[in-house]
Amino acid sequence: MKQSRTRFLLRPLDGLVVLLSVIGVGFAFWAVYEGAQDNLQVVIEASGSRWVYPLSSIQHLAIPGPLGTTFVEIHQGEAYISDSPCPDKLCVAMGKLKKAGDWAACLPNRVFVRIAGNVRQDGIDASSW
Amino acid sequence: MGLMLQAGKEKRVSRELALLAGLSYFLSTIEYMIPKPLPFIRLGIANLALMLGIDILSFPHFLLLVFLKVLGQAVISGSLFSYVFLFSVGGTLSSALCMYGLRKLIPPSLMGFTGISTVGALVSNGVQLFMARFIIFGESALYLAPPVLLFGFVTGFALGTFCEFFISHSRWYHAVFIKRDTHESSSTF
Amino acid sequence: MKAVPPFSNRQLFWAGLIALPAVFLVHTLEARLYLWLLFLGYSWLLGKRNKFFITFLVMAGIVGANLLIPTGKVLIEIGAFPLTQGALERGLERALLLETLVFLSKASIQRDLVFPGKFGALIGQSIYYFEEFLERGKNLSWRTPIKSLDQLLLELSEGEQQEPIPQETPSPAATTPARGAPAPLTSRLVLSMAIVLAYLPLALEIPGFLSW
Repeated sequence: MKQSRTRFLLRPLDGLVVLLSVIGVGFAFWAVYEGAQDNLQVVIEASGSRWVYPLSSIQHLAIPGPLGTTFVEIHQGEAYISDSPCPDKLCVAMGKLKKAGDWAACLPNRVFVRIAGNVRQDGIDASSW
Repeated sequence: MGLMLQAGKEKRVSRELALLAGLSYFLSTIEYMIPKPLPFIRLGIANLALMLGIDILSFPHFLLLVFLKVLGQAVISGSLFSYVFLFSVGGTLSSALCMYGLRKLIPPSLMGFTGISTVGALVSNGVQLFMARFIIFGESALYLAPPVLLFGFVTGFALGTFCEFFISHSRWYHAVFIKRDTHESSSTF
Repeated sequence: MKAVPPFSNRQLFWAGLIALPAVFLVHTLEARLYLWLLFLGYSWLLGKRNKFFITFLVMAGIVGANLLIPTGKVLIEIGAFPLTQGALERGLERALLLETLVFLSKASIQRDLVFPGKFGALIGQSIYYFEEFLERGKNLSWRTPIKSLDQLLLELSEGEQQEPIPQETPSPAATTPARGAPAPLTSRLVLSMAIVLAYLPLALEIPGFLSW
């Protein structure tokens, strides 16, 4: 009699599987959506346009400006201006950008490069410009 | 006499195999007709046929069943040459192997098909997400993972529970084992 | 009455297989769009209906997923989220590739594709049961799913007579073209043309003649 009853109930390891799955899926939700995901992005603004790239990607970019093309590289988690048609090349000297908030700019060519946190923050930053 | 019995057994096994395979196609068709919000989300109802096969079939025959299921689905839906087929193979094969392994390693009194199916569904979705990350989604596959896994958990659990209930009430299922025992005992004569 | 395409299943299968690499080997958006259109037309001409709604949904899903990681020039912003050109193109490339393969696949794989040998016989047997299920599936009731399914399975496993006995099917070389096909030369020509058209973008890429 007892045997036929247990067929209907959740068996011990079934329950364990369910428990682990709930924890696992919950963790997945937290990790992907809330956790400290390093979502750093490179935001470039010039000529009335905006470009956004993941800092983890590899890019060789040619950004147009009034004086010509400013070249921006993104490589191995760093972004930097590699060349620009300005007289002083101060922008190139600004070096490699790695952390959120780092920035470089070529003022003569009106190109601004910065590292932004995740996108939600970016919206707030944009409005403060 | 022995040869006849052997041939009879072969024919019977191939019939159960084909019956389960046919069932999997039928269940796939049913699933296909259910309107889904997103085309990617699969309910995996056809896995019921696989789960029924775990105890009925030997491992080589079970593998054959998995292969038949995947191939047949691909031919029926005409997706044999596309990535969809690859996803199907990856997901179904990995989950089928896991389910078979779990059933054979863990006694049914400890884990029923409820747990087995849940694990199977999560494995299938996980593998497919992994493959999709490289083939169609890229890094954004990560963002899609949690809801897909959640859906897999729910459907796997539901299907597994149904399977357990089915097995405990199915005359057909028990008849398969009885036939096998009868034939095996008579073949010793 | 639906016009029956005059190609044999085997011809279509092999044509599709030969054309397959052409689809994988191009990477530009334009080439993929071209192939998408090409095989859309190909499968349509072969009488394969396509559910465009599903195609659209799948493509939208892939593009949408790719848009989640912004890459490139910002085109529009949804709230604070930028939709970028690079991500859009990447998504489109992938979506077009997937759907092109689906079209090609649907056109090349006919339902009654015959596999040789014992395995083919097994498939045939499985499809027999599949059709039996389709026919008798109407007897299944939603209220007693277990009972009705069980009943159905019992019925099918008891029916010995009608079931096809697994036998070796004749090898494909003996398979004749389906349903009174025209001269095989014509159909081979047509399929060859389709294959050539599929490889066109690849051929153009090599000498670098593309000037767009």
